[in-house]
Amino acid sequence: MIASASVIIPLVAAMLCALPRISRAARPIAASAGLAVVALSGLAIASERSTGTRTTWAPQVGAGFAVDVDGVSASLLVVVGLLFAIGAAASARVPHRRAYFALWCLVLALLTGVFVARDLVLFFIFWEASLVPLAVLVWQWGGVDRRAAATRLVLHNLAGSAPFLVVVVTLAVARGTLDIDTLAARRIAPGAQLLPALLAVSAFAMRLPLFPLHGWMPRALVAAPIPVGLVIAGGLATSAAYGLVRVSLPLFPQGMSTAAPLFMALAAIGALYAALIATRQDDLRRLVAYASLSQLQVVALGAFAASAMSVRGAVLATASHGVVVAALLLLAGMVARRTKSFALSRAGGLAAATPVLAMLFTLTICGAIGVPGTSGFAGSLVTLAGAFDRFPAATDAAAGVFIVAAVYGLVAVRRVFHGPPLATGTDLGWRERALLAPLLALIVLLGVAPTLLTDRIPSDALPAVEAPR
Amino acid sequence: MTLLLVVALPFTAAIILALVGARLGRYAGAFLAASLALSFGAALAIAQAFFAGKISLIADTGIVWLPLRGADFALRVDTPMVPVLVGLTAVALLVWLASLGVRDEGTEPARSGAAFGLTVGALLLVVTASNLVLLFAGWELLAVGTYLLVADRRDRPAAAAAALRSLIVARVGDSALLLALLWYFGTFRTSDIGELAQRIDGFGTQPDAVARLQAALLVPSLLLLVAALARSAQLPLHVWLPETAHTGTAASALIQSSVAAAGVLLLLRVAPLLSRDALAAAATIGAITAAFAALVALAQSDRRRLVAWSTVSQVGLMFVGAGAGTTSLVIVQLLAHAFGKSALLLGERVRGRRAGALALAAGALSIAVIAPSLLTAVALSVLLTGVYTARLLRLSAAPRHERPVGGALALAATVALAVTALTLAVVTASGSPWVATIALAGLATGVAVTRRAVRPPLPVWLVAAARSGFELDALYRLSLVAAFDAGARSVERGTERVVAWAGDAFGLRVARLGRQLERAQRRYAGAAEALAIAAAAALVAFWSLR
Repeated sequence: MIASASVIIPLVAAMLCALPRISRAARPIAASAGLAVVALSGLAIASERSTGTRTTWAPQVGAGFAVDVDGVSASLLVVVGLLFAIGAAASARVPHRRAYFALWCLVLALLTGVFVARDLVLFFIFWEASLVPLAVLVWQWGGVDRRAAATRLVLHNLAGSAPFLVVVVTLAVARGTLDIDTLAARRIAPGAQLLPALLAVSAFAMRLPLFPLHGWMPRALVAAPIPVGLVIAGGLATSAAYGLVRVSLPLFPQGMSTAAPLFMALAAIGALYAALIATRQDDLRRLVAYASLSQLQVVALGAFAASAMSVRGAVLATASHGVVVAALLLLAGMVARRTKSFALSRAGGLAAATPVLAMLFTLTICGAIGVPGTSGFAGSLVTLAGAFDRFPAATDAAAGVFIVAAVYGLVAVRRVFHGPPLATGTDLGWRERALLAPLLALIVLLGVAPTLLTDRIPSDALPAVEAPR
Repeated sequence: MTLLLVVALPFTAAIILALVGARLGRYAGAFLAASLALSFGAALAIAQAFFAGKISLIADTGIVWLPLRGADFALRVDTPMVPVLVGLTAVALLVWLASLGVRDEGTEPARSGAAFGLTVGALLLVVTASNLVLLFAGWELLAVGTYLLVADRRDRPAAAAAALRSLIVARVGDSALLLALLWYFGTFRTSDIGELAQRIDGFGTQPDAVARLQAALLVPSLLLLVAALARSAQLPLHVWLPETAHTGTAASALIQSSVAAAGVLLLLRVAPLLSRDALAAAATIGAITAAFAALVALAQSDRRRLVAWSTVSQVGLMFVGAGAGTTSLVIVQLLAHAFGKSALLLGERVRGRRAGALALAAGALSIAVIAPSLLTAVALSVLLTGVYTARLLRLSAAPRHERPVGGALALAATVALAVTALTLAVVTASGSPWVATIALAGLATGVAVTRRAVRPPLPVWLVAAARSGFELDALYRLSLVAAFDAGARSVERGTERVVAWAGDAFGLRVARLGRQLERAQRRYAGAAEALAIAAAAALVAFWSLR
């Protein structure tokens, strides 16, 4: 019930936003849709009653309409819903409001569907469908590079997810059902799991994105308007991490374990690689894109290491990444509004004029670089501690990210806020503070009390303890 | 509960000042002073309990912080750490009180107060954390607090660069500490320091197991040593401390007296977890740094840089003691250095009788810390450290009416500084002649210079080389920083271009294929039907051949 409602309510909101009469109320409607998702997920966390619905569509194939919300999806949905609500509130002066907010609510509905679907066909439908309105948003409302960025967004992700269909067909033939929980209980033979695991992971690796497949992301983040960038960096990546942890890991554990060394190496190298490139960026949005990439490689590290603690860390790091990157993008937008461009070379000495902005920016950067007390540290430490047992080398390499992250984070702070005043502007207004406050509160809350989230993860969502290699 | 107050009060004050400090205006300083005074009082209460016979105090809130075993919000104090707790809270309180009368340009009381409170809280967390995760948290927050303190002078363009450098060097140490933490947690399945010490001690009965354990412990112990070196500005990670010469009064006093000693505190706290070779390495590096930094300090002509280099040197001597295992002597030295160095730094800026009296009280307190039996050995080390003060006084050749509270303060500072050198007897008793030789060399330098009353009898070229720290700074900039930049640039221009090109090439192929298909469809209008017939034929063939 709750699960279906969390998909239907944004759909209804999308239709409402498209109505011509109430176009002035489109923004509040979109924001409320996001908040409704947050509220429903919170309800799902708090309640003990069952929240799912299951009906059968195609019994011959074993496909059906199965939706359910468990601890992991509810926690991540809270973050995603919050991001959508804040992004909608931040889209103040957009042309063609009705179309924009209708598409916005549509993306929310489809992305929520990814988190609640417990049937593989349903999952795949929502997975692919969420790309379409997002691409339209980038294509129509984006910046200079928008056509190319939107094309690459769609092409790369579709190409990555196409092999997933092969996996769906394989499982339908092999087991006769496509219900994820049933399939997780009756897995296919361990020796035969490698190929389906690789094909399933390709979809999630393309969207996360995992290290060599990240070509579409920085461009998309730069070309999209800031709220849409929030969705790309926060929503898409969170859904990919969710898929890794809740779809491919329960279905093909031995296959992923066989392929784990390769992916761990890619993730460790990718974390350092992305952090290194972030130090060279002049455009604030590209810097945030590569910072986000670096944090997501740590998520991938936790998911592929597949120990109970590393998966907890991966979920925590995913939630942390969502809020941190959202706050960074919003702050980048606020800085750009004052310096009239996103270039770091045009900014300087803002701290004198905008001390509150400087303080919030420094706090968010601390969250990005992993200062204890912020969610970034909690996620990274739990992930690395969980991954250290089986993969000490990859974990040691990934710990080097701490050093490089400090370089790009604090160089950004220095170039924007310290030094001779090249730019000036007014300090944060109450509207901007209201946008940032929930994100920063969540960063600190998850940093000081991460067990609030990790305790919600049901133990059957975590991999069982495997025999030591 | 009292222990929690000691650590929580500075943090709370920092948070409140960060959030609403701008509203408080002038009273921000008084607010922080009140919190620090309460924290000091709580520390005194704990000391009183220990005098009454307590051996250790554990404050376990029972709240689990991270889902790792042993990572609770739990604090712990044993007997050796009680004087450190009292001393550090006292130093923090006195430094802040004395700096209330000083107005540094480019700073605001609320912002400096928040950074100060954060640093003090983090330092106390490092002293009292009961598990490695909380220790790491305090360590990292100490790095952030130092960054904020150093970056606080908005009117100095060098401030931001120096702050960045301090945090990067600290982060190198932090990642070493993180790796050590991961190793200890992965091997022993707990992060509680007491439990780890117990498990490592438990090997003590079987000799071959002990040998294997020592070999296994070597790498994580070296990592912990690197963390301590980075925080305390020892060779080769010393480059950040002399750059902080421009920081404000309270900030520089806190950083040089207490924060630089945090590395020593780390070594003292995790000493049961370290291998013996790592401790010997700590002593060696400390001795080398003490001699090196003493030489560089003597060649400085800038007053602040001289003080910074002298801090490096004296913390090196503390490392020698920590490596030799003489915990109580190191703590005495640490406290005396904390009080003396802050008195020295405050004496430069602080004017007026009230502040001077405060600083004198600080100096007197440091004398009270001395145990009488040490005086004989201490007299030998007066020479080495008194040289700094003498040179300092010579540099302060300002006219008399402008000179800040000088004479008595400097005397107190000198005596206190003198206490900070470790005795040669202890050094030779640890059995390492290498360490003793280097420390002797440093002392001999001090004796020679004192006899000449301040001007170093060194050749000009040596002085010139030493003034810039033997160009280690430039060496780092050329090798590490340039290599990092070159590596990042090549990665960006090389691999990232390839990845972007590959994505574009793939997109171009797909687009071209689509256009070709469209053209083919238009050219061969009947193609759709032909394809359908061909597909049906293929299916028939497939099914018939099965």
